[in-house]
Amino acid sequence: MSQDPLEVLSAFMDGEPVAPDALAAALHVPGARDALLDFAALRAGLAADDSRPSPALRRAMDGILGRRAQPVWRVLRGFAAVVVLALAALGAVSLGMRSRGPTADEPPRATRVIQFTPGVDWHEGVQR
Amino acid sequence: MSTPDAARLFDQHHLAVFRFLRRMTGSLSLAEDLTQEVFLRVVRGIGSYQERSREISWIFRIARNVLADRHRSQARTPVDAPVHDAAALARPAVQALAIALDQALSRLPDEEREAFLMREVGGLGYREIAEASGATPDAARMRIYRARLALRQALGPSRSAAAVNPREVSK
Repeated sequence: MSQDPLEVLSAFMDGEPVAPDALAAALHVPGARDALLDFAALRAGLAADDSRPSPALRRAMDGILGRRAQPVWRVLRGFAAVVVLALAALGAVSLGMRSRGPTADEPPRATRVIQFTPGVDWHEGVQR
Repeated sequence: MSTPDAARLFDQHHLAVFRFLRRMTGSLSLAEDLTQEVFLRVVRGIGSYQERSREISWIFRIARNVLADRHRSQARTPVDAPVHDAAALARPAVQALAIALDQALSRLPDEEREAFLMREVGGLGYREIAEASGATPDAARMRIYRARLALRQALGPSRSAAAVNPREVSK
């Protein structure tokens, strides 16, 4: 079956199998190069289409597909959980520091007071 | 056999389907409605999807059916409304090409436009286009070729020596 040479180029552009001989013959046809460039330009023109559906389509489909948008209260709930955790961590650290007792730099607290009366409990200048 | 996830199919393919339908109908709002209908059918029919065909091929087959149902239920509305993205139209060269391409596409016979767009927008192969449209792969190849020649002529071949009259192509 003989094919139109430009049809061979068209199929080749689409990645369809073409006979090497037919492709070679097609490329020798006057205007083949220009046709190939025009076909490529058409492809580029269509690829430049950046139209998008409105957000309403996605919202509708999210409902159908069972995907829900994050409601505000859910975001707030997450934020509140983070705040509670942070406060709890802060409290734990503070409690831990308090229960550790005085540090090495601080003198120990007095537990009883011992009184010495001069002349009774001790004498100045007396050697024992 | 695994069943594809409908949400993933929508995320991956809805733009191609939307753009295909936009070019086929010439209307943004109608294309949007039909895209939703396509994915409704995808959700309903996902259990019957067979892995022997690619997902995109299956979805375009559904898109074609949705389009056919639409044509059956209503007379096709002639649409001259602009269907271009406003940002893209800010660039004169893009504007000129986009408008010319849309006009040239709208003048193609439905079968040729459909096959051509399935190829260029959906990336379907000739066999897949044939399966989707109930034609043979040879017919799909010929439709795409005719569409290319007609579009080339309508947009003006870049070199006059390359001009080919699409009407001379054997039917």
